[in-house]
Amino acid sequence: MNKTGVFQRGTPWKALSDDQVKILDNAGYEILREVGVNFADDELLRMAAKMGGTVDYEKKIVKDMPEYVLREQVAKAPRNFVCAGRDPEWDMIFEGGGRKQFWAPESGATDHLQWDPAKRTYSRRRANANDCAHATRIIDGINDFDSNCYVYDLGEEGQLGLPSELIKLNAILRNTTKFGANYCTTVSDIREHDYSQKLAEAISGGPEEFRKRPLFWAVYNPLGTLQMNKFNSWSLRKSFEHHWPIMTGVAAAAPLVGPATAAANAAITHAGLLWITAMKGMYDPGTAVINNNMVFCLDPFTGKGTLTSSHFMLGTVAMNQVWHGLYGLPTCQYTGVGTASLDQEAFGLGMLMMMQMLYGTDMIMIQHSQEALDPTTLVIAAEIAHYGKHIMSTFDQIVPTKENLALELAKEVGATGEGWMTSEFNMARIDLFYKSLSLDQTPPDTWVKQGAPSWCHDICREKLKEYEKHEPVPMPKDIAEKMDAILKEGTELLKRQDGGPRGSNIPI
Amino acid sequence: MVTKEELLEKLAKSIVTYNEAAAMAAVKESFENGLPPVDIVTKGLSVGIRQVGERYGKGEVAIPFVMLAAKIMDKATKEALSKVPPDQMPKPLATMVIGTVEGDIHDLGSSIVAAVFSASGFKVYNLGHDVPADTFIKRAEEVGADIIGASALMTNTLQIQKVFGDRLTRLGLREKYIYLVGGGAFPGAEWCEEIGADGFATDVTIGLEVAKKCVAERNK
Repeated sequence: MNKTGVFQRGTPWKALSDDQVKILDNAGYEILREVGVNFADDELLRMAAKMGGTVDYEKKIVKDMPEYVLREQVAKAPRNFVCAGRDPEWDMIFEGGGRKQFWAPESGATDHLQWDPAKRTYSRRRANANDCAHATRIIDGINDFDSNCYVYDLGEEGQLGLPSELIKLNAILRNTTKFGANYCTTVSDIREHDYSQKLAEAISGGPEEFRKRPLFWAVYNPLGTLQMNKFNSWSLRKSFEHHWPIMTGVAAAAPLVGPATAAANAAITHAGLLWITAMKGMYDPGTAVINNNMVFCLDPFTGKGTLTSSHFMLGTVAMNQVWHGLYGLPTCQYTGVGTASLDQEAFGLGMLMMMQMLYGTDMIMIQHSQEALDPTTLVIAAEIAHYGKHIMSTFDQIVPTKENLALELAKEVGATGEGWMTSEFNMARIDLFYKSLSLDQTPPDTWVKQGAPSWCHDICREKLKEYEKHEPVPMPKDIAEKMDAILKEGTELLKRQDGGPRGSNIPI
Repeated sequence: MVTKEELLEKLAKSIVTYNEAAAMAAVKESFENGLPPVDIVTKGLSVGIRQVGERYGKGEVAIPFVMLAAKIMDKATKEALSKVPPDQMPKPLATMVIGTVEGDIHDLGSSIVAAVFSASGFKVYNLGHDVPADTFIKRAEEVGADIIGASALMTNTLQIQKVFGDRLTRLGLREKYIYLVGGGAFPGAEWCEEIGADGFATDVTIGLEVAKKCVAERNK
């Protein structure tokens, strides 16, 4: 029995008419034709030229990509695909866009926040592989999370010049039986990706097995409006070679490096997604692409990411309409609130994630602070996912069928209502009501007597202790040994030599 | 007859209102009325740009407006000082070379710093992203910089801030420059101490205060 996802029910919220969706889609192709995209990588430029684009190798810009080529390739992207768990019961099975909904937490925090209960304050340090493994085990044990995903970037290992993406993937894959999700770019050396692939193949059993049942997807967050830097380029090329599914988020970061309307921002984002999806189709046909519906915003006053703006909310719903409606492909979303504060996260994420649910986003990633993270946020995220799933999984009760309306019973019970409580009809439906994972429902007097605990800081932190007891199914010994050897070899080869940057010629 | 005070106010106002045409017209009018070029900059345009910087620090002005004000300031200043001999040029608060370190392509933050610092009286040379250490040093030597600012977004590239500091030391240039580090990779106090940088900031307004403090200490 597959444990993941809920079927989407009802009509997702729409921002645009069908005609407007087509206008937005066409704008994406016009941008690719007239503006073009920038690739830092010459190999990708050559690949683009083979697809029929006009390439300016000096400026590294591709323009005039034939629309029919793009449309043909995008149309070939798989609708149905598996994102595999080590345990097949945790496979995420996507069945086209707008069909199912999956939830997972996500963050790229480079630092760990350590709470001091006595002083009621935090200390901060670089996050490391142990933090990542710890968080992975917690996520593995929370059933409302359909997938694992990293919530820590390995700031400590990165700062030491170690191949942190390889080390991170190892920490994740060892400590979960769920899909590993986001595998990111590396700044060290393109070969780091090969070692990561070896790690995954050690679990899958080989390259073909991985291709059929991929354990992670590669993530692209190109910078600027339509730019793919060399690190993203390395990863994209390796995704072709190793048949990694990809999850692409094109970030036209309004208003500092992107237009200040949701429509223009969405059009540019859409152009980028079309472009990468088409390249993937051309050079790695049959491997899944899931596009991030993100229409990204920066706070114009601080320059920090802020996704609470209407630009983001309106843009993402429009992107869902385009990718679901015109291409039948699933979408993914991560939504951050740009804060480390637990209570602000609880507010922001709760609000944003419910919107994503109503938009019909297929993979909802509850994104925590990108900077410094307290694992207690995972408890908050679990409640959000639990609530989102609750609404979607109990949706059918609103459908006014004869059974749901229960008019005959209403006549029988009468106007006063007491008869409903113990009726067979109600008794059989108690499970339709929300049962929280962690919300405090004690009466006010009790709550006051208990010292007025904060949900975020006290109750969720206590709940975290329960989640921390979870132990994932251990990796078989022989596979673990293989992984150890791969990790050791890769780390030795890829660690920064002589204190300088890897691949750099800076003498020190 | 327009007074000197009125001209200076026009110059400042043109920056505060982000009006390039007004700024260039005010410079021209100041010339026609015999206002010394250095006064045009130091008592007119600079007053305006400082106001913009202060308003930004209070959260009253968005980054794009600061960038625009800095751009207009730069153009108007060049025009005002176009005929001033080098030895009579007004002195900036300090001269700074800034960029994002090698291997890191995130330059939005350093560009914001460059604009805000320019708006606050610094002469800034922004080298952009993925800047090799030797490029920083070469440019700093060329322009006679007081400050070198190295930004990193990723912890992977944060290490380059240390490599860069070591490079300055090996070349015997470490004491010559105020070395500031910043960026989204969160170089904290410990990191700053470990690599021997003179200051750090993860926020442009804090960075400005740090830079001013370092310059003041050096000038003691």
